[in-house]
Amino acid sequence: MEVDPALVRACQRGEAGGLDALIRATYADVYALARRMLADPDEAADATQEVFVRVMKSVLGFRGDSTFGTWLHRVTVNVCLTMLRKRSRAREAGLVAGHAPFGLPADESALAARGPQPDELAATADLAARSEAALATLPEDARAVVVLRDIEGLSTKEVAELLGVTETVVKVRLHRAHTRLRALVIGSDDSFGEPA
Amino acid sequence: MTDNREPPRFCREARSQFPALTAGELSGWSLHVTRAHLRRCSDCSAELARQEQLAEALASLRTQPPQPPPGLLEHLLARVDQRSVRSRAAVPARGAISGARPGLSIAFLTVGAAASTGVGYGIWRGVRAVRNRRT
Repeated sequence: MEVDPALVRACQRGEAGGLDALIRATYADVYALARRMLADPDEAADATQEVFVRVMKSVLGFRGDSTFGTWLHRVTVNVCLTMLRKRSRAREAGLVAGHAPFGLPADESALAARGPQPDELAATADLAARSEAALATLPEDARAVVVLRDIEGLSTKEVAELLGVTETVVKVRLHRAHTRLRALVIGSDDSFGEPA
Repeated sequence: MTDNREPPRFCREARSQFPALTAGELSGWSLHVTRAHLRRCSDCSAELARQEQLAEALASLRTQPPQPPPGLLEHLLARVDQRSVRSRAAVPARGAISGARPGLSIAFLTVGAAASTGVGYGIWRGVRAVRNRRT
């Protein structure tokens, strides 16, 4: 996320309208990341609000060790991960339904049966739209890796640090997610993609 | 299967490297082995082409971010206007040395107080020594 340092400094100096300007400049990027990680527009809106509450609490103490955009990115990912874990716990307790658990190897066969089939996705207008739809069918841990790595453009190491897992775990999740996305989006029949 | 009937595990291992290969993160021996396999295996080459297509499609999503719902910005700004929230992002106190870093202000004041005390004590000892010599 690119953020004008002048906006951050204005906010830190307590200038009138500084916080408003910072929110106006960044909320769309924060929402987009949250929307893709959570695959739910309502939860993404809630996550965006939570991110900006944290920004308001912490912006005065921001020291510029990293760029503000990097910090904001990290806060957004952390808020989304917290929400995914809460969702997972609520699902385990039977409070909500319809989302695959985070952090657990998802039941791929059940997921494949529940999600849109390749022929349904093929009817969607274009490749990007099909990718977006297929992305929403991934288990939450796999989706987080794909969003951060393939869409946000972070390196494997950065993704591993953000998610608190090893680089090997990131690579394995990415490989499985890509195998599934290739099948859903492009229609490949990858009989070797999934480890036995 | 493959052109020369390589064991499926070779294909599986090669395909597990596709994400790193398309991202340009593969190097050294892994890159060499994967490329060598791709030269021999038309199935895996075709699958790599699909992987590249997928990588392009995912990268294109970066330029088409989902739009925030109407009213979200207004809601966020309304929350900023709430006194309880704004007070958390309060203007630095007047006279603070570093409003953005309260910890730094406390450190400056502590060091200043300690230095003043030390200098004062030194002067007092010096004056006292001079007086003692005279008497």
